[in-house]
Amino acid sequence: MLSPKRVKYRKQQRGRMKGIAWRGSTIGFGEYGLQALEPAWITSRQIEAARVAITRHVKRGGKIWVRIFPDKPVTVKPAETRMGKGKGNPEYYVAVVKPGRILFELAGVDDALAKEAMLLAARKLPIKTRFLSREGVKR
Amino acid sequence: MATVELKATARTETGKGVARKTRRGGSFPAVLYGEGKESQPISVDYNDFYPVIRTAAGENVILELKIDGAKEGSCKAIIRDIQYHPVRRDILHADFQHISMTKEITVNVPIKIVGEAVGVKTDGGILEVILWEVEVECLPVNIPDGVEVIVDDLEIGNSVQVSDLTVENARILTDPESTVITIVAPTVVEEVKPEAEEEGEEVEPAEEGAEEEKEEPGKAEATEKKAEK
Repeated sequence: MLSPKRVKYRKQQRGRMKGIAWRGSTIGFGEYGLQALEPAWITSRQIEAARVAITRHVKRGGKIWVRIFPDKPVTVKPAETRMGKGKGNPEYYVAVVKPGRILFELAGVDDALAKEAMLLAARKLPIKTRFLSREGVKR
Repeated sequence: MATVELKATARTETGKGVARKTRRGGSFPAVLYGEGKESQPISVDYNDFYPVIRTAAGENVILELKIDGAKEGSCKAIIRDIQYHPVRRDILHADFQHISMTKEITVNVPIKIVGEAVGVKTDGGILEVILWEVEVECLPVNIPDGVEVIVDDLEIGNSVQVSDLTVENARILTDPESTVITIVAPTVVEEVKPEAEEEGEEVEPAEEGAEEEKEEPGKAEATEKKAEK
C-alpha cells in the first residue's frame, strides 16, 4: 500500500475540500483516465484495491499510472476512550481528491478493455467517477 | 489546409463577471493577438466553435475570423490555446493568434500511430507512447494533421526517436533525441493467494514516528485505569 516514507509532522488537521481540481485534471501519461467527480478522502487501501482491479482485468499488456498519492495522515482515537487527552494516533493515509482530478491512467489496451477495467476500479472507490480518453489519438 | 470561417464579436468589457455573463449567454470569452497588433478581446459562440475544432485537423485549423464591431472586419488566425473546465468539460476561454500566410509559425501536431508492432502482436509487448505531440515549424498552409509513425517493424525494446520522424514541408523543433514511442515488455501479474496478500498489506503508517510515540509506562497505565473507571 502507498504511504509516505517519512513525514515532517505526524498529525495533520482535517482541512476542507472546497472547489475543484485544476491541477492533475488532464490525462498526462496514458490514453485513458478515471476522473473523480466528487470530493473525497481516498484511502491507500482503496487506491490499492482499484489498482489491483485494473491490473488483474487487463492481465498482461497495458500500463497503469496512479495519479494520486495518499500523503495525509488520519488519526483515530482508540475505542472506548473518553474525550480529551489529546489527538489520536495516525492509523492510515488518505489522498485528498477534488472533483476533476484524474485518479488513474491506462495505456496500451483497447477502448473496451480500458473502460471495463476503469469501471471495476471505480467500484472500489467511494466517489462518482467518469471514464475519459485522450482525444486526437486514433488507433 | 482548408480555411474555416468563424464568427466572433468584439468585447469592450473584460473581467470575471463579464466573462461569466458571456458564458451564460451561449458564447465564451476569447482573445486575439499577435503579428504586432494590439490584443483584442472577443467572444465566440459555442455552437459556431465546436464544429471548427471537430475536423480532421483538430485544433490546428486556419480560421477566417469575422469580428463584429472591430476595425478590421476579418483576419486570418489560428487557435493557440483552449481552456476547458475540468469537470464540465466545456470551453472557458480561447486564445487566437493572428497569422500571416507567408510567415512560418510553430504549432504542436499530434502523433498518429500507423500499423501494429510485431512486438505487440506476437510477443505481447506494450506500445508506450511517450510523446503525444511534436512541435513543428511551417507555413500555415502546410500544417500537417498529424505526424505518422509507422510501428509495424518494432520489436520489444525498440523505440522511435523524433529524429526518425519526417514531415513534409515542415521542420520539427522538438529535441531530436526525445523518444516518441517505445515497445516495452509486458508486466507479468503474479497471482498471490489471498491469505498471503492480506498479510503483506499490513503496514503501520506510524512507523516513521515510532520513537516519538513511545509513551512513559506509568502514564499509559494511568490512562488505562481512568478509562476503566
